[in-house]
Amino acid sequence: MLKERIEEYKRGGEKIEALKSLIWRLAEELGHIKIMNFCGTHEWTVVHYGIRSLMPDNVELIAGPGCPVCITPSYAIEKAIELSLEGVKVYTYGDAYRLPSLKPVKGVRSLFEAKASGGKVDVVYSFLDAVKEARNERGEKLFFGIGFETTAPSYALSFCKGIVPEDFYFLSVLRLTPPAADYALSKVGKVSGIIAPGHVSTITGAKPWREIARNHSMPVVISGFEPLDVLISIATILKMIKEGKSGLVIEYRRAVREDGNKLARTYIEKVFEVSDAAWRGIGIIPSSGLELTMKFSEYDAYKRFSIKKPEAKEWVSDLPKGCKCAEITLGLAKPVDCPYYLKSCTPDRPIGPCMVSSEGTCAIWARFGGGGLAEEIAKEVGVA
Amino acid sequence: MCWAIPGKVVEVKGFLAKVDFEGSVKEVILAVDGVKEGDIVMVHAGVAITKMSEEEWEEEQRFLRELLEGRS
Repeated sequence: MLKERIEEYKRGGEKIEALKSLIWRLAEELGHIKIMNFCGTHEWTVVHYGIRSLMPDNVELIAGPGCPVCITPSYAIEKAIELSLEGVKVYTYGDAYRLPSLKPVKGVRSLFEAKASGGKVDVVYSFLDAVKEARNERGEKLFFGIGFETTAPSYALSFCKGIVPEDFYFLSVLRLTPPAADYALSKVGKVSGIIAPGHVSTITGAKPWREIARNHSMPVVISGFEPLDVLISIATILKMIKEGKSGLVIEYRRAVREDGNKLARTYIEKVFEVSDAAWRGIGIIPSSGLELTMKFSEYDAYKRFSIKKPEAKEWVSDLPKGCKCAEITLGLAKPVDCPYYLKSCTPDRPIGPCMVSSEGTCAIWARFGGGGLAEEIAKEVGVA
Repeated sequence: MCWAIPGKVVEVKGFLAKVDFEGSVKEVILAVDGVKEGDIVMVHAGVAITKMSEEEWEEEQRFLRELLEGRS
């Protein structure tokens, strides 16, 4: 059985050893190598399984803009809070439930706090579950529609198949990853290779990542999420650098097809159109968002509730003063560089958005001890 | 957020399917063509985004073997 064989593969300790040796061998004659990931789940794997500790000194793994919760602009959170307090039933994924806004709305800074203050908020596992619940809910309803390409098909199919009830409005904060990858690469500089998001790529296929590999002349590997997958991807990137190659390789072949998921993309194109969109703390990234087309405008929360999207010329950062979430998201800083990290900003009381979701870099490092803090302390006291 | 887990399809009804995740059965939206009972699909936030196949799994294993043997 395929499933059992995959389980067995995950436990392949001897392969981990072999890959570690290969990575060290490949990195030997290379200079400083910076490999960026674009999925919070890859950062989770890297930190949870201590993959940074397996790397030679000259191989640095950095996290990129791979967390849809972290980059959801504050205006959308503020509007959802406001509507929930005015009696509109708001459905959200658990990931965004505790996401703090910049400005408090009637003293409330998250949907979690809104619920505690009498707001109408429900946490759901999926859009389908929200649709089912909304059918029995009177009055106006709103879905807090976060996500990347991976999440968009659930919305697109539901609208196309006509299962979304009337008075159920969709607040689209859907974002596209390749434009953000391009943007991050233009800011960070000196990235040697990319670990591209495996589940996003099941939808997009190889094409947008191949373009990024070509435009930035670097190896890009679409990777699975087991520690073994990530190590294979790192080894592949190093091998390509050593051989002077750039281009795209799909490591996560068991799930990702060269041309992605055409059916899902067809539905997404029927329901959504690409627009310039705000990324929290970062600004407006051209052609990086999805909004409902005219055909589905009756469900559009922006139209129903007259929500104004920020424009590039009037953009001001929507992060709390001093919070380094934007720099961390772009791979320009690490959580330990933030003055709030694990001091006033903790998973229990998050100040910035990167401390909330299980895919936020700060939340991952806080939970599993990433960042080499122990190593730094060990060096300082002379025991490293 | 973009985490997906594998499950086995137990029933297909149009664009919806019941998927078994180690004993927990959930109704999901099918965003994949040609899914049938018994298939293994990857499900993210209630939507099946891709199907796993034996052939592609084999191909991936071959890729790993070749990488470790320095042939790729």
